Amino acid sequence: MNAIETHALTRTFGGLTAVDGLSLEIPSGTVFGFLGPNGAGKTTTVRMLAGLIAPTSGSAQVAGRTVGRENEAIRRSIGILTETPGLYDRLSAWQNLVFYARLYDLDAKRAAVQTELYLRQLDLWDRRNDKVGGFSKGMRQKLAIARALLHEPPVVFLDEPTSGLDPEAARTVLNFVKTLRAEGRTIFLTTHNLPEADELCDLVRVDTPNRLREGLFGRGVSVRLAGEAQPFVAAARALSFVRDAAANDGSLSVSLDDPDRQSPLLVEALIKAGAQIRSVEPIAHSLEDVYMELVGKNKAR
Amino acid sequence: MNKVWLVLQKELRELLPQRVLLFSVSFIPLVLVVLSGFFLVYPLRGVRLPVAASDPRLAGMSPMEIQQAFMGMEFRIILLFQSLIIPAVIAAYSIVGEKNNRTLEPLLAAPVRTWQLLFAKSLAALLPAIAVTWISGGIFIGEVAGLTSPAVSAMVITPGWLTTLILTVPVMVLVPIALAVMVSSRVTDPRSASQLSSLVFILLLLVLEISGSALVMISVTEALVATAVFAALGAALLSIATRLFQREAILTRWT
Repeated sequence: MNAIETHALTRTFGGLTAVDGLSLEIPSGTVFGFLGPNGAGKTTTVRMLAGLIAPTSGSAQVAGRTVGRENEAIRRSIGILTETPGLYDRLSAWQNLVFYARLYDLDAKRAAVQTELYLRQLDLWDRRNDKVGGFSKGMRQKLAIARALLHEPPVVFLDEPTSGLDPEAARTVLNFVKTLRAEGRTIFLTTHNLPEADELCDLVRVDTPNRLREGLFGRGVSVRLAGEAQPFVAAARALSFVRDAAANDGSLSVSLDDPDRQSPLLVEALIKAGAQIRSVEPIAHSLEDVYMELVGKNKAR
Repeated sequence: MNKVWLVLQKELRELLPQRVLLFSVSFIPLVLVVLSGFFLVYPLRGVRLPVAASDPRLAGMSPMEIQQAFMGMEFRIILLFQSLIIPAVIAAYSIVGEKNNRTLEPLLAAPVRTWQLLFAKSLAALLPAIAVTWISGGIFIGEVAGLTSPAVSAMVITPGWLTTLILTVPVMVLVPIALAVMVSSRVTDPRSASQLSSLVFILLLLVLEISGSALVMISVTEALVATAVFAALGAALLSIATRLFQREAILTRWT
C-alpha cells in the first residue's frame, strides 16, 4: 500500500511553475528522499502534501486521504518538520511539546507521556524546563522533530532536517531518523545533503527547477543482458523484494533493499524468465554523481 | 472549544512574561487613576462647566462638589475608552508575530481550525484589556467613593456607567480586536500591522468620543442593549476576519 501518491501534481504561483506534474508512489514504510537545488519546489511539494496549500492541478493522497478534500484528516495523520523549527521561544521545551500534543488531540496524560518519551529520546529531558529561546540550533531542531512525532503519525515530512546543524547534532538527527525508519514509518525527506540521503533513503528522487526527473535507485544492481532488457522488466518487478526496475541500454537496473542477499534470487528469476545474463554489478554511481549529472543537465538546457 | 483554550493558554504564557508589554498595558490606566484621584482632591478651578452646570442633579452642591462631579464624569469616559488601545495592538501583533517568529507554519499544519485560532488570539488580547479596565475602574470607584460626597458619587458612578464598565466595554473591545486581526492577517510585518491598527483605533476612538458623553449617560437597559449590539458586531467582524484569513497566502506570500 502506498503511503503517498501523487498524480501530475502541479503548483504555479503567477507565471512561475514551482512543481510541474509530479507523479509519485511512495510505499508505506519507505524513507523517500526528495532532492533538488533551492527553488526546485521541494517545500511547495511538502506544503501541498501536508494540506497547507492547494495544488493548481493534479491530485494527491497522503495516508489514504485526498489532498484538498480531507486536509484536516491529513494534518492529523502526518507529522511535519518545517524548514525552520518554529518553536515558541518564551515557552519551555516541555510547554512547547505539550501544547502541540494537546493540539493533536492527545489527552493531558498521554501528552505528558509522549512529551517525556521524545524529550528523553532526543536527550533534551534535562533541559525540559528551560525556555527554548536559550537553546542551540541543534537542540531546537531536535525539539521540532519531537513535536512532529508526538501523536505518532504514520507519515512524517522532514524538510531539511539537518540544515545548518553542526556534525554532531546532524548525526544525532540522522540516527533518530534511522530509528523512525526501523519503526516502519513513511518518511518524506527533503535535503540538499547527498551523503545523508544516500545513507537514509530507500528511494530517492531528484527534483530540478520546473522539471521533475524520473526516480533513481538508492541501492541496487545493474544486470547486463545478452539482448534487449525491456522484456524482463516485468519479470523483475514481479518479485516481491524488488522495489523497481528499468531497462537501460541492454542492462536492467533493479532497485533492491539488500543487494547482497537479493541479487542471487533476482538472477535466478531472470534466468527462469529466459534472460541470458552477462554480468551483475552493484550500481556504481554515487547519489552525488547522479544528482550532479541531473542538475547539470537541467542547467545546460 | 478545547483548542481555543489551548491556544489561549499558550498566548497568555507568551504575553505575560513580557514586562514591556505589561508595563505598556498598565501605564495608561495607572496614570489615569493617579490623575483622577489628584483632580478629585484638587479639581480645576475657574473652568466653565457648560454641560454639567445645567444638570439639575447639581442643585444644592457646593462649587467644590460641582468641580469634582465634572472631573469624575470626564475621567469615567476616558477610563472606558483607554481599554481599547492595548488589545488592538496585541491582536495586530498576534498573527504577524507568529509569522515573523516562524511559528505560524507548524501551527497551521496542526489540526486547529482558523476560527479556533483567531478566537483564541482575540481572547488573549481581550482578557488583559478586561482585567485592566475592571481593576482601574474599581480603583476609580474607590477614589470617587472615598474622596467625594455621596451626591457626587451617585452622579459619577451611575448604574448605567457601571453596566457599561462591566459588560459593554469588554464586548466593545472585540470590535477593534477583530479589526486588528483582519489587518494582521493581511499585512506582512508587525510595523505595518501596528500602524494600521493604530489608524483603525484612532478612527474608532473619534467615533466613540463623539458619542462618548451619551454612552456614559445611558441607563442600565440602554447599556445592555449596547452590549448586545457590540457583541453582535464583534462576532460578525470576527467571522469576517476568519474568512479573510488565508492560510495559503500567509504561508506563500509573506517573506
